[in-house]
Amino acid sequence: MKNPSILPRDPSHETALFIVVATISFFAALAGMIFKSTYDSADQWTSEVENQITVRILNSDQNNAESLIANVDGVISAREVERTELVGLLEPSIASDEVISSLPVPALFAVTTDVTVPGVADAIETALLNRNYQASVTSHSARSESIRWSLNLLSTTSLAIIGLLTASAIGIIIIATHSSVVSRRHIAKVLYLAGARDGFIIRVFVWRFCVNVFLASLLGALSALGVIFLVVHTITSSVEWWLPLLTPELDDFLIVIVTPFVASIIALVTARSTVLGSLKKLT
Amino acid sequence: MDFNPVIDEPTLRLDQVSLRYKPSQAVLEDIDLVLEPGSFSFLSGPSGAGKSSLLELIYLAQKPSSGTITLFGERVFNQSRNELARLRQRIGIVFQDQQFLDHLTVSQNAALRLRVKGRKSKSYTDEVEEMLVSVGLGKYLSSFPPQLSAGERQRLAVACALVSEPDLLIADEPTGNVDPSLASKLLELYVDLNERLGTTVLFVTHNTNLLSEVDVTVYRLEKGRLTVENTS
Repeated sequence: MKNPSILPRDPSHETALFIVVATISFFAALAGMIFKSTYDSADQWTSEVENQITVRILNSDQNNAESLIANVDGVISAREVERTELVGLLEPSIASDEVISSLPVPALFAVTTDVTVPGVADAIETALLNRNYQASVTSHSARSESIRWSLNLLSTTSLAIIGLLTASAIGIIIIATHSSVVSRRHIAKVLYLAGARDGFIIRVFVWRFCVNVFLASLLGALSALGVIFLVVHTITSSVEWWLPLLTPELDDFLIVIVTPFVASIIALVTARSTVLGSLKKLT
Repeated sequence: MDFNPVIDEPTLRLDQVSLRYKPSQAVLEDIDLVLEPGSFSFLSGPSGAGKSSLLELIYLAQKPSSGTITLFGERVFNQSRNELARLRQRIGIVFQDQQFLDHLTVSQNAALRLRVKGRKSKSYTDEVEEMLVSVGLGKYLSSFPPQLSAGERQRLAVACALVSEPDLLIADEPTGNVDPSLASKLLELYVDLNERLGTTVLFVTHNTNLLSEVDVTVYRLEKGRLTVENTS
């Protein structure tokens, strides 16, 4: 004698639940992955710019400037930005290469510094002024402060969104479980009268529920990963070189794996308490 | 299938059991009831007399307001839900409107109590078939409950209750939905099973015609009080 499932299929409840959980998981995973990728990229970018200084020299003769900057204490490297890079930077905002050539474009030096040495920007400026260079020195660390502030705002917003989505998921799972149990209350009663322990009855309901939620959530999370890859693939080529790139990494797969497990655990806990509550009402 | 319970103490003993939903409103008052192992008893009484409440106490779905219940020699006091479920596994229950799992076949429904006990399906296939044949449902093993008539559903309910060889079988108005001739046949089935298997049977009915068909102890419940009308 084959042992079929004690709980019959209930397409009206189960399909609706599947769609809702998949949708919620999609948004939760999407929010999580966008948050993580953006945070990682921006954090990496911030770390990179924190030890960078840009030096602008207006003098037409700046032959010794590069070695002068490189010899300042705390400077790791100094490199004059190539003309082609400059044109690439200016061309989208100003005009064509021919127009740029007619303008007094300053010489730019990209300087990498040792962040543990204080006052490197001031030391470079002093050294250049002492040699009569008309120079302005900009430390990128000033920008990193505003990036860090933006990152904190992003973190808080993302966590709030993920929190809201999780709360919605819990609410939906509770409502769906309750409705599922109520619509099949007679099964719990039949099992109860047959002498089934609470654990047995709970397993009958919760197991089905957890599997459904797991599969729905996995589908939602995989869809979110697909969307992320599609978006990244579409926009990567058009992003300016100096902007942080949204780069999905292996860690993002972790979100895809974690999301269904978290959803299933929520389903397990809420379904268990709902079924137990319904059973206690029976007696 | 021979089943001879070896119990020295009464299957069920109720001592001064009362049930009140409100302090001033007693549903059951000072009930004393003893069901000896292998006995067959009727419980009769008008609607609203408290029969269903008494049955709920017996199959441990309710706790009494006062008094003691002793089932299978074990006093029911503050047992955990799991312990109550273990005791309930020794009680078979048949209702007038017995509910089945309509997506399972007759065989699978009948096997439910064994499945709940954790038995593997291979170990009980023959037992279940034998039980269904003994209640006259041998032809319907692969049918589904909605395909059965009212009488056949009652027979299935009996098979479901008895397949796990309970020590006590409670039948709550099992003949309420069937015509008189079928009611007599169903009563015969219970009496036969009681004699053959030795299962203690408490048969609840308000059908006075049935009471005269068998010479057994008749308990009458009226306004929450239990009296013995006829001792066989």
